[in-house]
Amino acid sequence: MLEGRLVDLVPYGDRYLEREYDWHNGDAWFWATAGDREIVSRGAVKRHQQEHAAWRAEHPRPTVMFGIQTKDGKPIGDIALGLVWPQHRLAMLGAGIGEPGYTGGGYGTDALILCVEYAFRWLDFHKLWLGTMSLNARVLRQMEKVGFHQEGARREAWLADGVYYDDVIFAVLNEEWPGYEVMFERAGLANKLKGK
Amino acid sequence: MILEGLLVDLVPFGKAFDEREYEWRNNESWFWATVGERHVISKSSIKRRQEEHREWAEHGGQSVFFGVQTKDGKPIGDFSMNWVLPHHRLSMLGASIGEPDYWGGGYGTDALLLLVDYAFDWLDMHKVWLATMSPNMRVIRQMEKVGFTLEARVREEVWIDGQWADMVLYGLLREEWPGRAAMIEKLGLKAP
Repeated sequence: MLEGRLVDLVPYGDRYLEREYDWHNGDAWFWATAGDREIVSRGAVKRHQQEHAAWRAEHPRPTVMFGIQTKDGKPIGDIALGLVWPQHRLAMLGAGIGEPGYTGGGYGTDALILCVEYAFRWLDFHKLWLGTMSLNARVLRQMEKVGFHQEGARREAWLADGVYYDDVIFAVLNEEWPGYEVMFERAGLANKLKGK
Repeated sequence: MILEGLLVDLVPFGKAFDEREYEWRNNESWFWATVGERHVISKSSIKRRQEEHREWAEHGGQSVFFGVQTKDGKPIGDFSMNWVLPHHRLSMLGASIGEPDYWGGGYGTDALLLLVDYAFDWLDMHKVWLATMSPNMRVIRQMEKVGFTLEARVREEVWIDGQWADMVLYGLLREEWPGRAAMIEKLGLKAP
């Protein structure tokens, strides 16, 4: 378990799988993906989970996936190091806060800086990156707060609600990362914590 | 199906191409087509990968895989649309001329124009894109020639020959594509 101040990162187990039906059908999925609006049954979610588990067993990947839980243990989302490329010490960050009441409170940012700290200080990655659609103002603000660099924008990559949006690419290099403690202050999470 | 160009045709990636893959994946072309990979790969491993790829493609894998051959039928490389996202009408292009003797002669560019035209005019894609490593000047010049836009230069993304290199991402929107005929005219491509 990776212990933060607002959230902890824990193995992505059954307690999270049980929440996927709500999370995938909720607004969170729209933002965590590139404008996808899933309408998916419980049966389909379960089938997908089983297929995914079977596929993963046959095709081991160096992907790391965490569940995000509040300090009192409530599952609220997930965060992962995907597209891990060991040769280049490169990974893509993927994250979603599935529970509607937990956006804007610093939970996602605490999870993000925990995950970045883990990737740089424990796993010795060289670089982390992510892409989000230009419509996603919350993530654009968050990226600025945590000091990721905008490296470019792939024009009109994602169709969301009938409009094409750019895929904005952000990244941070290991040498640019000031560490969890410094970033907790810089990103304004100390104030969020005081307010709780 | 065959897409007929001036210098090359795009054809199904069949047995004639399978047989060349062992050479192509072990030579310098693969270093440039990927991001600096230098494979040392056996014939049986190539065969296994070909079988796995076919199985994946037959089970709904979203890709279109062409062989590139000269007008007299010699296999020289492969061009593909990978990671096709139907909902966004977006696709990544992949390309390699496995025979180094055919670099710089317009063969790859002719194949690229065929593939882009196919993506836009037949499959109704909204956008195609690709990425290459910053040392790959041949592809960077080609991208400029055929009117792709540099959309991102992502820093120190890959470890190539003992140092970090950037990746450059190029994209082309359908509305920016003047059509294959216009592009052939602009580039002065001619049948041999």
